[in-house]
Amino acid sequence: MITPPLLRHPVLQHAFVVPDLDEGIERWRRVLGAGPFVVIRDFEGRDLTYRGSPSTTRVDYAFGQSGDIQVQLIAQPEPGPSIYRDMYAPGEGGFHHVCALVPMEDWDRQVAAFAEAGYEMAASLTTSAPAVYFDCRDDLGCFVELYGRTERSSAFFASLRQMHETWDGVTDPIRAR
Amino acid sequence: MREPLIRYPIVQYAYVVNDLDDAVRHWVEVMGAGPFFVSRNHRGREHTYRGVLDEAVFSYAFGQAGPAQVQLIQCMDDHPSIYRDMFAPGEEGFHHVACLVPAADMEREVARFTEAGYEVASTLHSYVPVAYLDCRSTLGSFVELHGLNEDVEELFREIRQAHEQWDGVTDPIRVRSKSSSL
Repeated sequence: MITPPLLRHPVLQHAFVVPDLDEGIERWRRVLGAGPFVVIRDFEGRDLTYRGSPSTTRVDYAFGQSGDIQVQLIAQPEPGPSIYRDMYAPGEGGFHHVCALVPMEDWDRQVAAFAEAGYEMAASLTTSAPAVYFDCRDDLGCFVELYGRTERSSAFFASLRQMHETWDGVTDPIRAR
Repeated sequence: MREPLIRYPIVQYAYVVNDLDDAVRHWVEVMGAGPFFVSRNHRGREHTYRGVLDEAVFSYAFGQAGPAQVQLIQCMDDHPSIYRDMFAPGEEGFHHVACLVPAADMEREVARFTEAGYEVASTLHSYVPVAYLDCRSTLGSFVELHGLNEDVEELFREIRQAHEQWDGVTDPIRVRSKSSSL
């Protein structure tokens, strides 16, 4: 007997850890035509936690688009710990998590559903919206990020798509936010 | 700055799994992906691995998760393959991204990858030619270039529409009359 899905909002992002952000961006652009990438360096999430304790591990983010799907690249120049180091040692990289946007009116219920199903909240932080990361590696082989859907986060994701659709694949592959 | 090798979007993310039914259940029950269209014990037509014809057997499941399609792959034997290249028996994880390439452009697109130094690790025929490029050195994964014609377009549409109309519970595993190895 199958139980109803925990998540009822679509996966819209796949995220990859890369050893070096700029090199990662160039590879994803050059090979797959993803981009342009909006880059946020040395980011320290507000109220960042890792495995239930406050954390100050900073990371570099790049957000880009390929078709209907958003690609996030993450580099962590410092040692950690973090959910990225949980999967990849320094110098290593690969697929890390999928992300779904959760409307704020459904936020508490959706987060509780994952916790009650036994998945550990491995990290949390706040940007323009709350973000939580559940460790689903045992069942899915990756983490699952839930990210609050607000006007601002929706507009950001929409802008990535728009830039991608009008892009020549070459000009200004890195953009400031 | 050089042009990207490919200008067709990523449409699918594929994972190697130990047990197809377990994996389907997890992707449905956790992520709400699906329903999954399953093709069991599939032997790819004209399947090659590293340039040599090969009769490896795989089971596949295809389901939609938002804008992306998820493919789950189980190796059914011990043949070497692009899946075994990354995962030994008992191991599992993310394996490749896939892009649909209009059939008329397929040969040129594959050539762009090989000229850039990426090896064609596997090929097969599924309605149209399919090629897997070994891009692990730069992207950490393989890249699948799958030819696009009306049959393939219909298959992708069917999987997406089934997802959009689905309650997340009823008949999570379905069989499609036309077999495929996308």
